[in-house]
Amino acid sequence: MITNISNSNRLSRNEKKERAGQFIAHIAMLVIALAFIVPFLWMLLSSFKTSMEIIKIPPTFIPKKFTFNNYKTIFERLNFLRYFMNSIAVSGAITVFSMFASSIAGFVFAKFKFPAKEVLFIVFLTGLMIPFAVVVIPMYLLVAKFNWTDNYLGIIVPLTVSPFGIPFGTFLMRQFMEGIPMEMVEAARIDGASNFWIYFRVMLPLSTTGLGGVGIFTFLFMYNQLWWPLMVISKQKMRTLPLGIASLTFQQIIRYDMIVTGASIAIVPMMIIFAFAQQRLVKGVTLTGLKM
Amino acid sequence: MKTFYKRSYAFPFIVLTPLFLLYILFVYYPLGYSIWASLHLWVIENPSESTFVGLRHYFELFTTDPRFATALRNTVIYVAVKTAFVVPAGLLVAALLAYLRRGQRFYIFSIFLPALCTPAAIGVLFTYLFQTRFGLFNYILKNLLLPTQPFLSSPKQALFCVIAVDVWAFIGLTTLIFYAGLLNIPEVFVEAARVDGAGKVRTFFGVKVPLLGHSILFLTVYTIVNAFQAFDFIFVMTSTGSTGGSAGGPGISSYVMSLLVYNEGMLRGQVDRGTAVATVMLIIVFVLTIVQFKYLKPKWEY
Repeated sequence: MITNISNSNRLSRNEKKERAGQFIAHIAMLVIALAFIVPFLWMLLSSFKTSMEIIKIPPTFIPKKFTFNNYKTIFERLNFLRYFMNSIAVSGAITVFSMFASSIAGFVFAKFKFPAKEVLFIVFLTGLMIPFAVVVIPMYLLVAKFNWTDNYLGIIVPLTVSPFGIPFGTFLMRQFMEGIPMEMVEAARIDGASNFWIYFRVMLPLSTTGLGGVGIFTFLFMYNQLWWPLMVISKQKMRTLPLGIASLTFQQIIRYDMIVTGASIAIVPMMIIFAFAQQRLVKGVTLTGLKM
Repeated sequence: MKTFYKRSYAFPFIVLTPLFLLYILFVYYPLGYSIWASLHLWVIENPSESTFVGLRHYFELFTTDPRFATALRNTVIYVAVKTAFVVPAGLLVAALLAYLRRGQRFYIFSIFLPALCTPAAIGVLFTYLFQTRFGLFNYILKNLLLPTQPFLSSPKQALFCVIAVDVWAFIGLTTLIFYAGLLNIPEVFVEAARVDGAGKVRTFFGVKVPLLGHSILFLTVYTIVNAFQAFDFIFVMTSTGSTGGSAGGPGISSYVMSLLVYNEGMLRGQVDRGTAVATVMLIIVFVLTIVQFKYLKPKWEY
């Protein structure tokens, strides 16, 4: 009896200690979270300030006068709507091509036996270790030879076949498709299905999760690219959004109102996507263990 | 059974041939070109007129080029500081997250958000916050009665400001991977430590951290290779204000290797010197990769 009483006492004391610990941990975590949220909040609020208020000393947090003028200017005069559409078009195209190519190549690597399979796969993956700086100049000269500078193709094709496009996608799709039972493929073959039919009607429907992950990551990775578009694009209207944002710093006098607004245009869509797809994205990152 | 496989040789061939041709054209051909051009006095317009000079460019880089010396030193600093921060900090934040009973969703959202966002956008945003006169950071320093700082306009501080932003944006990734790792640790180990009388802190450092060994090693190597190739943040945050987009300022104080490749090969049109810098990078990453494979079995638990 006595031990029982002392036990329950200790439990409640433990529980108290645990609660205090939880409280302190939440405070610490809130402070950390604020350090990540405040710059974005500052950016968003600043994008609604007038160009005078943005360089005011001391700075204000909440805009005194709420204005949409910055967005009007950046979309109408600085062509940011075009940059945004360019970015969506280019990264969308890269994503579609590399989803198609990496799923069909993943199918081949997962479900076929052919000579030199593993060697070819390693050739594919070795590219992942080559720093972009090593290939960037010759790649530019090549694209210039094709007359693909200032052209969507000049951005899309090299990035699609670059290591973090199709090869990494193939790696993930192979892993995913190896989990699909071989019997499914055999059964379709006995029924006389062609390989392409099996790919399209058997493999693809069974690997939508993996394919979705590849799609999301390819899109995010390509949407964020700066260096390659910087190499091949010189015409103003062909700029992608990151390039348009970077070019705001190419001036002698830097317009910080345009900078915070440009940054908001790039970041807010990410915030919204992340808010809605958080569980999937987090799962994807922890499964692949890689940021691309 | 045999007939199925026999029939299927054609399919892999049809699928993989175009892919490999493109891959060789856009990855391995440029790789070879890079190494080859770095050994010549390269004539861009007509490469067949180039003269072979062996390792001359490399020799010049390592002996007489102040920009290369700065870039190499800055890159080493970049890698060292970034890795030293993001791996331990990620581990600690992950431990805090795993200890909490609820609210993880919001915390993960805020910490991981910068890792998803366009580096160019984050970089320019921070040039505003670092602005010396009306920026947020100097305003905070002023209110804390601390001396204001020149930040990006100082040759001494610019590089560290960029590294700080990169660290800020990168911690979300390390945190998330460590957090997943911590949740995957079987309860048995933790229970065993508790039975032996170990406290929470002791359990964390004595049991959980060693069990995360794979993740720690993987993230360390990954961060090193990633930081070694830093480009975007440096490029947008250290602009020298020229219309062509030349970065690395003030002066050459924040040059890193990737930026030197761009400035040398693209802005100055010196393909041979640019590719020589790139080849040095290739060799360093190659060595790092070998070290990684030697000490790290490619078997992830998560």
